[in-house]
Amino acid sequence: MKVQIDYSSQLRKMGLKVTPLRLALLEHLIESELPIDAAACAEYLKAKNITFDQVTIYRNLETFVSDGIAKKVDLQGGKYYYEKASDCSHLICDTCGKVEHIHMEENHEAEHAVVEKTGFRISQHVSDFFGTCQACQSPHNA
Amino acid sequence: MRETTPLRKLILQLLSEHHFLSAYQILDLLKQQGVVVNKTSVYRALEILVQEKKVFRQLFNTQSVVYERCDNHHDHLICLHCGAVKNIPCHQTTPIVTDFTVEFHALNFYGYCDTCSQVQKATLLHK
Repeated sequence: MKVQIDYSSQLRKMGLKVTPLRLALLEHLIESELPIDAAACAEYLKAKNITFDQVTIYRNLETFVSDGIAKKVDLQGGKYYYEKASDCSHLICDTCGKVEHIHMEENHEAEHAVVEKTGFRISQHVSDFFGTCQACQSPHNA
Repeated sequence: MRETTPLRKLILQLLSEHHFLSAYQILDLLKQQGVVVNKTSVYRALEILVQEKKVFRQLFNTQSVVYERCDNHHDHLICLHCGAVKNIPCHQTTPIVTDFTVEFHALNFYGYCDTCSQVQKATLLHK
């Protein structure tokens, strides 16, 4: 069963006015499985018939980042992506640019080891693996 | 493979001497060495070095982008309060994924350093 999240109260908690654009952006960000860029947000808003300008999208995404609800991701491709703030690992194909999420239990073990050694209080980790996906490894794509 | 230009060689040299640098810091260090170069050229050189996987672009905090060399691999601890970035030996294990060949990786831990954790604890006690 899908849990219904109250995005309006989440925005109010952040001290932000609830607007159709903000609601839609937050919903898209939280419900997207993969990191999204500003262009994907623009398409989502267009599909929902919400009027917007590019700057408002960037400004709101940056606000979500500074409020700790989202994080900005650099996949080394020349543009930034945004995704909900959580522990995560990405597989990024250098050839086709495809991004996949993977769950890595080992990272939690690494986290414990780091806490023990350094005394650093960790709230989140991000790990990115760059390489080549199976489709791009096949001889047809060579 | 592109030829490594003198500017790119200089940038790689500067990045060997520092943990990480922003484009503006690189520009300042080049100026100190008497190298007259345009800001755009530095950005373009860095972009090429990123594409060639010689340099990695990092977004430790969202305010500024910094660059570091790929060949001196380590993980990072980033303090969300004071912004300090510390390098630690690599803790990453390669994921067990059969259909993906990993070339290199980045692992960053975000949290609070010892000093900032104590400051926060003290603030909470005084409240």
